[in-house]
Amino acid sequence: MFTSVRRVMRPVVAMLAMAVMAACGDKEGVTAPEVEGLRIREVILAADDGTFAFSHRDHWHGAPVMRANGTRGLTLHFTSTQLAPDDHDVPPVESWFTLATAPSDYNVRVVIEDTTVARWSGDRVGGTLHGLRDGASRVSFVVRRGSTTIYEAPPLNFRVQPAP
Amino acid sequence: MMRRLRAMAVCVLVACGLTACDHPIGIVSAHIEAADLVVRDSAGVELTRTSFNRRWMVDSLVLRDGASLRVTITPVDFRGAELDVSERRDVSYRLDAERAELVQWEPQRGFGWLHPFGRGETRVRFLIWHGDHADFVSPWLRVVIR
Repeated sequence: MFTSVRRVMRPVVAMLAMAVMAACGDKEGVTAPEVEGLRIREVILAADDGTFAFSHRDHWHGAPVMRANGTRGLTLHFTSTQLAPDDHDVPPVESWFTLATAPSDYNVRVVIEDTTVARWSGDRVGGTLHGLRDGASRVSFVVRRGSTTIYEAPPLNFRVQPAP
Repeated sequence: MMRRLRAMAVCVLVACGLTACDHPIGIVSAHIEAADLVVRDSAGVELTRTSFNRRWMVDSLVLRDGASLRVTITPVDFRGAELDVSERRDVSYRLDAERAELVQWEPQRGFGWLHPFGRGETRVRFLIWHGDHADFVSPWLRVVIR
């Protein structure tokens, strides 16, 4: 009796084991190929006065504030690692890098939602936010290699206060 | 007897196969089964809470321009019991704002900051984010910045 049960069940058990192993496999690697080159996970905006704001997955810690008719000089640093969702500390400074020595086809596109509030001038290493009028808006940072987007930070809020 | 055993085994196999398609065993973690959400300030005072996740008991939140508000968000189950998600590294809180330029959400461990960016009015909603999807989306809450 038990011998016959074992005979019937043996192939079924083997198939079950295969099904479980297939289900446990890493599905991410199948559909998410890495773009060759730099790996960018976060951006850190370091202001000329030593303050900074940094992206963390879907949000930011910190925000630039400037006066109308004033400016805010910012250097764009990046990291290739991403902190855990509940780890809100600043990425270790030794992990920051800029695109200064990156291949020449790397570029940064900076988009301000309301261009009557502020404008951006700069290059892939850094630039300046120019406050135009009292108000608030958001700015996006997109890193591209050629025309391919390899990193896009969540939009960052900023504030332009009235001129003194 | 043998036929029944074989039929049962085939059923188990089919079930395994079907569930594996949608929920690979390695990445499944329990959803947050929240029915409502409570928003409190830094002193623990309740600012507002949802009612059957259809409306807010206090229908607006007032912020002062230039003054960030520290809040804690607590999910509540259908019995009204508070859910502790502090140890869940795959769960975070997010915020949608209709006028996103006016308010920014900055999560911290165990609480978050609502940063106002100018006077005005908007509507926000809180999301309990689980991996790559929302387990809970609150109704819109009016936010007034004075």
